[in-house]
Amino acid sequence: MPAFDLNGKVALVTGAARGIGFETARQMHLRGASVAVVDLDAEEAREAAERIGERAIGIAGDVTDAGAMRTAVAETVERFGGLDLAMANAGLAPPSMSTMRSVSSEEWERVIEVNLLGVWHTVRAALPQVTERKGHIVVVASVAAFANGMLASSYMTSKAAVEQMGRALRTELTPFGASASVAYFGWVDTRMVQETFAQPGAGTLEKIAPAFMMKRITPAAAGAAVVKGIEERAPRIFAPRWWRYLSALRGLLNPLLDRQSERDPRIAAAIREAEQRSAGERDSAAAS
Amino acid sequence: MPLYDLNGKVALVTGAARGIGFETARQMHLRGASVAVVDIDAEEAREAAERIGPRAIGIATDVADHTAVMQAVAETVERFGGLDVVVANAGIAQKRMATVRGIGTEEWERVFEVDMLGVWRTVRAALPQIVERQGHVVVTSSVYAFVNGVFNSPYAVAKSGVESLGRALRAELMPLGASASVAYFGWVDTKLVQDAFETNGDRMQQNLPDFLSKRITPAEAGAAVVRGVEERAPRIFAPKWWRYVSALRGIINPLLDRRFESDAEMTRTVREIEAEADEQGTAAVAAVTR
Repeated sequence: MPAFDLNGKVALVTGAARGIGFETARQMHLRGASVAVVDLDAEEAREAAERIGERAIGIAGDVTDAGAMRTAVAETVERFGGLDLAMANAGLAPPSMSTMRSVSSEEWERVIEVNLLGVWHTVRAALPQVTERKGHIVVVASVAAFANGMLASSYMTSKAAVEQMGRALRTELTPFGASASVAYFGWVDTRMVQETFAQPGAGTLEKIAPAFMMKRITPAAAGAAVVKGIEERAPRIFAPRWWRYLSALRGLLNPLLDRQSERDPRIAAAIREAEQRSAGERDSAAAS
Repeated sequence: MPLYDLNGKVALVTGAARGIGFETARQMHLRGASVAVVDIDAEEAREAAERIGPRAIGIATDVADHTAVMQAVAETVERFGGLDVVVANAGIAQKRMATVRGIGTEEWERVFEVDMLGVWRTVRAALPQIVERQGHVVVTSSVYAFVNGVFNSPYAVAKSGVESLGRALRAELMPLGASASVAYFGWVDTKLVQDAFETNGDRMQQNLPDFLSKRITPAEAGAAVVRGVEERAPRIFAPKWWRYVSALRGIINPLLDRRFESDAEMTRTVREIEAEADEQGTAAVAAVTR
């Protein structure tokens, strides 16, 4: 029997209308859990819940709104009688590759607000129930938590922060019989990742990184990894799994990789290009 | 001669009225730099600038306020003709140890805003000058970027974000001839740390070997920053041995985190702290209903 049996449990997943969130909700439901599918878009949340089946409800909620998260939890508790498991998964990637100098300040802070404060609001709203029922929390970080954030710093910054939240949370929950996992995904074939690779400048990454690193897994595979992690109350969930080894070696590898990238002319070119592109966009915005 | 000579440069340091920020500003001034002493308290900023000497000005600024930070940069540029070095150092800690569940929402978010968004807003405001003058940025992270943030989550969450920001910033600045450092301090004998030990007493020390809780002076921490700026170092650790802990973090952290989970003293402390938070919560509710 798994350490945490999902059968009969109640789960809430944010950003669950699509991608990894949807797949995790769907697969938890297959294990016998009731699920609250929370998403920004009411219609998409409802449709996703319908596709998952009975014992699934769609709830429209913006994770950056603490009150909306409390309402989502209250609605779930009212409908299913409690809440055992919360997965703070909703997140967004920056809409364009840009440097900290050239990015719009609002755009940069919006990513932090959704990816980090959104996790905080979700966790806070769920904690009383999860603690009481000795449940489990999954915070979705990313391998971006330890990758260099150049040209997408808001994303890497937010994910590094989420990782620290998840670790502290686990230590604070264990004495009450509850637990928490930090989930780290590499490239998963979600709409977010597809859009990221459609951005100008994204090609550089594909040229520089080794091919095995760029291979994408399916959202279903990522969801399966999360479900397994929950059942094991695992501290860390890596998908693809080999990222676990890079994470273990991060303290040694990162200084070397950072140094190498400082000297890589292709990266220097990509950074100059991003700065020029943003300058061009600003000029054309000013002209119109 | 150092790689980056501070003589004749202009530096802006946030949170510089006291502690590591003050010492960094003072020692950069000794090397011949002009310094803007930025602090939330106008009077303290002015006094600190006076103590530092002739090429120092005090500026009152809340780093969480975007516009205020931009004004501080503009004022510095106006007074000294430019800006070469920025040290985004201002930071706060929560008043007492608390769990993610027990801490007040406003307090958690305020610590995050000052410690993380304050660094971002400072960096943003300074970048045009720094790039133009091929200068240097120091972001003040902490060993809490990789030490488990139990009872101290907003601080650890923010400092981990700051580390990531600083690494990306360096990568983005190097092709333009500028650079950035991430500074990691252990326990430094600052007001922030003294307050933490005073409020939380023995709890701060438990689960820590003695050598881990030994404090260095703010002057030593400031000297480490100045040396790091002169070397345009990617990472500044003070005390220095934290460098090795950082290098091994990917291996050590899972082991330490696991040990925490089975540690009886940690379990008891978590329960006590949550019980205290519940009492305070109940007391607050009682006060409101009365």
